[in-house]
Amino acid sequence: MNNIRIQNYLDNQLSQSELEQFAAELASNPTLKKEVEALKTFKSHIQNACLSEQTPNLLPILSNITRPTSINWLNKVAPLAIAGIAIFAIGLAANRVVIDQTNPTVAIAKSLPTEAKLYAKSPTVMRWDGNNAVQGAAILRQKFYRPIPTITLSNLEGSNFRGTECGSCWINFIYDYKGKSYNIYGRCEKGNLNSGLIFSSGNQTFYTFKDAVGWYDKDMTYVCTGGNELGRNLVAKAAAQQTSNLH
Amino acid sequence: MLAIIPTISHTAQHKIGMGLFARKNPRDFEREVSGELAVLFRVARRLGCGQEEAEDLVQTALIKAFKAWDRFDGNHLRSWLIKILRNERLMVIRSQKETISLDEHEEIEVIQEGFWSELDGKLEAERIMQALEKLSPPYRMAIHLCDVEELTYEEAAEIMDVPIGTVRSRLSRARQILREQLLDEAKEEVTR
Repeated sequence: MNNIRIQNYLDNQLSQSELEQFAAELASNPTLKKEVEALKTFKSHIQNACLSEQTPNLLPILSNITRPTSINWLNKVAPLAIAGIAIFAIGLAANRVVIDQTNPTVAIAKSLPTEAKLYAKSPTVMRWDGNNAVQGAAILRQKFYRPIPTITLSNLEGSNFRGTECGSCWINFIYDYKGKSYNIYGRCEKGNLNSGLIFSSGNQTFYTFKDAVGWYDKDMTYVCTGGNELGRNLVAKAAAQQTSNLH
Repeated sequence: MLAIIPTISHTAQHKIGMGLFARKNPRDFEREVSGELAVLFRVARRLGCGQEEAEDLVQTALIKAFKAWDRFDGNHLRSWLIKILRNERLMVIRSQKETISLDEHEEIEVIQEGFWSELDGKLEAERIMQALEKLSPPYRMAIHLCDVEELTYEEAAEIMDVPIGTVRSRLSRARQILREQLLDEAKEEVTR
């Protein structure tokens, strides 16, 4: 019995004459018929097993790609409302509005949750070292097929750009600031920072963790890691002034 | 770092055709592609991605497909999308310096009586999925594209960038490996 012929028969790969010959053999050979039926059953079981696997709802991703400017009103307002309520509640509890608007303590903050570790969501596919942030952003744009900001930190004296890297769906701007290294990660997602301690600076709301500080801007989430708490806050605040401009 | 946007040849039948002309409207893209999201996710999983990585890979492939939408000839949407997805995955794999080599000689295989029918009663979904995961990626892709998504050999060959004969031999070999794994597992269970 020729396995390839059975396979070709089931996969509609036989020519008309081969098909006729095979059909004749099939009619006269019960063993062959049994094998054909068994392989057919095998194929259908494989198909059923794979199709029964649960798939997530990917439609929001698709909508976001085709209509990136259509931000859901509720999504936009809800984080601000939650931020406002949380700030008010913290203020009441501590008998003051907020512990410190510009430099919140991270002593009581949690560690950055796994779902907010943007860099861990897919492997690194590209790394570029250099000292020109504009050039680094341009290289990222070749790989990252959606609008991204150019984070130069030109508004933070003493910062030195070191390079960029990215995964399938995240970017990273790498900086040195006062002898320490900082990463500014960005990814197109929302909602994973909400467990952080909230503080505001200008119009921007930040979410503080023991080891990171993050913020939302447009459809993106950004997380600054590395260095120390004070450095992270300064780097994040400077970077957040440049993350609204996507191109 | 830019991967090449694949184009699908016109040789295969219009099994999953969308018509002769490419649609440039973003709404059309959304409408046409929405039916392929589950397929893309499953293929991403078969390409070795975890749940979250698969979502990322699908997102990257969709962004790329959307950018190339006005260059898409309108034929074989599913194959076109899967090929973009696969190219993206290959870029990641290459960057991780993973190499895969397969012995892919097409040969006439003679099987003994009861070869496939020996599997009767040993086909459980969970076991099949586990056995599939153990297959090397090219074999797993061949099985997934042809047996699960029911693409033709021609379409699978386009996606995998291999001759049709290679698809045939990979498929045959993959099914045999799966069969052996399922039989071994069933035997082990009996002896336990």
